[in-house]
Amino acid sequence: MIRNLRLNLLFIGLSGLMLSCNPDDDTPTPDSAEPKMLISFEPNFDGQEVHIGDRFVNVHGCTVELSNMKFYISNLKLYRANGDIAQISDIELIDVKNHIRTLDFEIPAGDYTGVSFDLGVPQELNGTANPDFLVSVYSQSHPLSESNGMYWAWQSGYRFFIFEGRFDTIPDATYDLPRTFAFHSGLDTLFREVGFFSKTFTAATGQTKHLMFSVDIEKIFATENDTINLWHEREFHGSLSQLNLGLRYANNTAASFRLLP
Amino acid sequence: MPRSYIRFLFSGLNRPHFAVLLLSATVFIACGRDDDGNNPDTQARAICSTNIAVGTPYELNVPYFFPQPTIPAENPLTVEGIELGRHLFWETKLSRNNAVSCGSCHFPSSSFADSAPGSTGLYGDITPRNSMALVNMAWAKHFFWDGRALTLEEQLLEPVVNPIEMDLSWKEAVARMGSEPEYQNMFTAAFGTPCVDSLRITYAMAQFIRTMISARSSFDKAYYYGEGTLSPSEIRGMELFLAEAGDPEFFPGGQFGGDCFHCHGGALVEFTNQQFHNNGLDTEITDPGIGAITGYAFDMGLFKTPTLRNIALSAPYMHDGRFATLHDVIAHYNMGGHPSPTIDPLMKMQGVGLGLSPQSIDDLVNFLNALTDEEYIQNEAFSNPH
Repeated sequence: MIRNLRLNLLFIGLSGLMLSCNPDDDTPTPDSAEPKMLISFEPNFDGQEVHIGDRFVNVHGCTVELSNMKFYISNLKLYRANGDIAQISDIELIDVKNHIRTLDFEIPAGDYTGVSFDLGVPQELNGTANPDFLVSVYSQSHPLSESNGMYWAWQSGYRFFIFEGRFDTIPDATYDLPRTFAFHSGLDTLFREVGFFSKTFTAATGQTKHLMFSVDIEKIFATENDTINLWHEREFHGSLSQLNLGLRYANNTAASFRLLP
Repeated sequence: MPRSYIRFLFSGLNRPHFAVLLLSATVFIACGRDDDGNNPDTQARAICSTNIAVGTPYELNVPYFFPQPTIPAENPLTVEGIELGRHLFWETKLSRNNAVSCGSCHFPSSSFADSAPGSTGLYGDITPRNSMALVNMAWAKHFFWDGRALTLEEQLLEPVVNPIEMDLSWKEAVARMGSEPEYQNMFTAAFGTPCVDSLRITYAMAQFIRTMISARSSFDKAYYYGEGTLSPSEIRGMELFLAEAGDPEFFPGGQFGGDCFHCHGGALVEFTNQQFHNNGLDTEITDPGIGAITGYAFDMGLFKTPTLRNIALSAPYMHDGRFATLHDVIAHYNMGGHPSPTIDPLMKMQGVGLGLSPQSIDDLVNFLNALTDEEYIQNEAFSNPH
């Protein structure tokens, strides 16, 4: 009796521990369930994963520390081999600092050829064209809830892509980083289509498919067409007087996504 | 644990009840943080067979401009649960010497905060941090200045057993409440049986605190209800609140603003971004804040952004109550803050300052004063029922 009690206690205790602590992507999917699709986003610099607090040296020789990266993914679509396009989400928030980096969907079983998404909040959700818009239309659990701290100001809707950190103004210096930067895109004009990523896969009943995207930080600072130099450009918060910087930042962030093999 | 206590825990439970008890206790304990490292009695002990409220469902009166809050499915609001929670919130018998209740450090006139930098506990000792105002907790995502509790229920487990604050073991607290006929009736009405445990106590108090909604300040009345108007100074203060910092001649994009909205919400609803920041209080970080919880170097000296609703009532300010007035607070931001390895990138004017004029500071203070909700602090539904 006592032995059984102990076994029960051990079993139930371990079950409780597993239920409460297991990450979603380790949970077995029942055979009869719809296929699951996980889509993750991870900041990288020169192919190395970057966590909050990690440092790297950017294209201009500045040692940079990542403090915050938070952005909206919208119009997330999967492309089926039969030509159908399934929009699996209108809007999602990725919040690297708060460990919200993986999106979780159930998708129909079948063959797929790729995925696409946009960067930012579409105008119809952003509320900028609606003078009576209230942020309260989105409940606290919604990605657009005010509780996520992404609503910008009373006239310009949501921030789309927050990228913050600290850096050293002296190239290749080794002491601590005395300067900070903060880029916040968010005007409707800075909404960007990221585009189509080709990926052929079959999603079968009971399976979980995982797509992993890199956010290449080096491309935020410099693409083939543009560079953003922290020495001269370290703040953007939607001012129209800085729209040129905002456009470049929006273009660079949209170009920073890469589907990992 | 004494054998008699184990027998007490398990007496009267059939096998399914026992399984539910163990499972729920394990779930609560498995991922809980014992962040002070020496007080295991803060952890929930499920003794009663169920902690799901059985009373009359209560619909939260959410202002139309607030998002619908997320109420935990395991602790739905009921009329009886809320009333029980109100009694427990103001119950001095939850302190070892019957001297203090939750309300002793969270009193209405201070927007349910404390007017002293640190609160005086039952033996006269002072808490190391300022008592946080209880305003719109239904929307909060983290609790305590360092965010060490992720739910209101979890937060409420700590003060009763804290040796400075109330210093009562949960075992004794449960015994005291369970021996009172009035509470037996109230627990029965709220949860279906007179059984008392720490979960039922904290669940009921959490229900009560979630009903404490403040959204009828003079700002709300003018801005959301069309009742009255803000003064020119208050409007100017709101504009400064929402404007970017800096002289645009030297800082592109600057708007000569106070730059408050980045952390205190640009939607003018919750007045907090629910995040943690180092707002440049010190160059040498003496209190690690959330850094003590996460262990990350980049989190050292970061504290929860409090709501600014009723901020004029909840002086003194900051986690340690170092600033006595709102003018002192704005003076701190106006000087740009003290640089440190973790100062927030949103403290953009560190070493330079915001450059606000005395009139601009007055305007900002006047706007913050307009966030005072007198109806909230006078609401009889939140008052001491004893």
